[in-house]
Amino acid sequence: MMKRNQNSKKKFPVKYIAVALCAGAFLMGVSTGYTKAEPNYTTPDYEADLETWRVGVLLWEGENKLESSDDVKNENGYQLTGLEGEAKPGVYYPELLSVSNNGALEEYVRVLLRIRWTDQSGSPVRDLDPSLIHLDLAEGWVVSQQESTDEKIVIYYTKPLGADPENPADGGDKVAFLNGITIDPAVASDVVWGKNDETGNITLTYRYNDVNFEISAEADAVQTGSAQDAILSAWGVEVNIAEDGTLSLPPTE
Amino acid sequence: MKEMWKNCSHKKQLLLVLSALVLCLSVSVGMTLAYFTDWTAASGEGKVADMKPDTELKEEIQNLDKVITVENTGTAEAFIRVKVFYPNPELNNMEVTFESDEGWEEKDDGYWFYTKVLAGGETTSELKVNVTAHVKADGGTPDFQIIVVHENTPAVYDESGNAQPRDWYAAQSQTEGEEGNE
Repeated sequence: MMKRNQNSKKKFPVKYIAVALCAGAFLMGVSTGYTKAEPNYTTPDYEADLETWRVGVLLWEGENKLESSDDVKNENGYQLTGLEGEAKPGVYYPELLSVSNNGALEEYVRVLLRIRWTDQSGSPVRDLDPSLIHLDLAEGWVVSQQESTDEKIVIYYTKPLGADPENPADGGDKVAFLNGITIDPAVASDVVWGKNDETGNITLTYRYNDVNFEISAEADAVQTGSAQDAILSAWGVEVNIAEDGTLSLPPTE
Repeated sequence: MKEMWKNCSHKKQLLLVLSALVLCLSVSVGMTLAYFTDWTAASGEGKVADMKPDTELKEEIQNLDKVITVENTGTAEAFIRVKVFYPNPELNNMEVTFESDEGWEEKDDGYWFYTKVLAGGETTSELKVNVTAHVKADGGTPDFQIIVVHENTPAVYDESGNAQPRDWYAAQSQTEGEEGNE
């Protein structure tokens, strides 16, 4: 009986040490991960320390920042200010969308532009062709043919965006990625012929009548240090970085 | 045998501790390799202008003549053309001539095209069909019908916003204005 007690006393600490070590390290790891992803949840001291290493990216429509005042990263609507009403097929409408570096580090930036047709309730209309929404992309960006589809255009800015650590909110580099939009005149020719059973008259239904076009932009930024590894890790994309910092995409096969 | 079992148990415990340490280290190493990133998103939408023209032919009969206008009763900007069908004048002892206000232009295919874009609520200028029926030998006037067909097609635009008619192959057609005259 005594022997059994002695044996159990010897075994007890080993198991608990292992479990405690594992649990402690796991909790540390989890908390580290969260504080890096969302500095808002950290203590003020740690946040101030992290700020000097922060990567930040902002979207702009003209001179308007597209970020809510509480600094929470939600999807914010923009107005398509160049439109001034409804879009006539074929007309070029200026629409200046830009990204800026509002962090404290140089960064590489990519933008995912998603285009689609929606009905009046905002639901996507999938049988209409999104490639009839033409985007006039700004210079300095390279389109990833591998990642892009009719509904999604992925573009990478080929140079690092400089930061202004003294004034990160407004001092960093800002570059335009979209200059304007055009709705293809072909939307006016996409008609479905029918016949009114009562009158016998031929009827034409314009498939693009009463629909909206939606353009959403997601800007991603990543540090320039160890850029190739960072981009591969963060975005899952292999890129080439030249000695002068120019980013390029591998040729598609 | 007991000693051997004891040693084996210690080895298992040691392996357990080492395994736990390796697991812990590997978790923390993964976290420290995270890169600095950020993202933001926004979206906007616009509406395509109404493309379905809605037009109405209007005729005014003055003696034997017809005054034709077309009104855009919808909101879509449109282009208009009309075609006037009438009997062979020589065989029917009559004369048919056209008198057009600014904007109307006759093409080789027999259509009269209104060359200006017609905005919602606007009406074309007048296209007048002048009919002269000569008295027949028996003292009567010829029987004839004048039928007007009008068609519309939506306006499309160049990059600067200049309107032009979309191709006419799918033009909306409307036949009206049958007239019997004795």
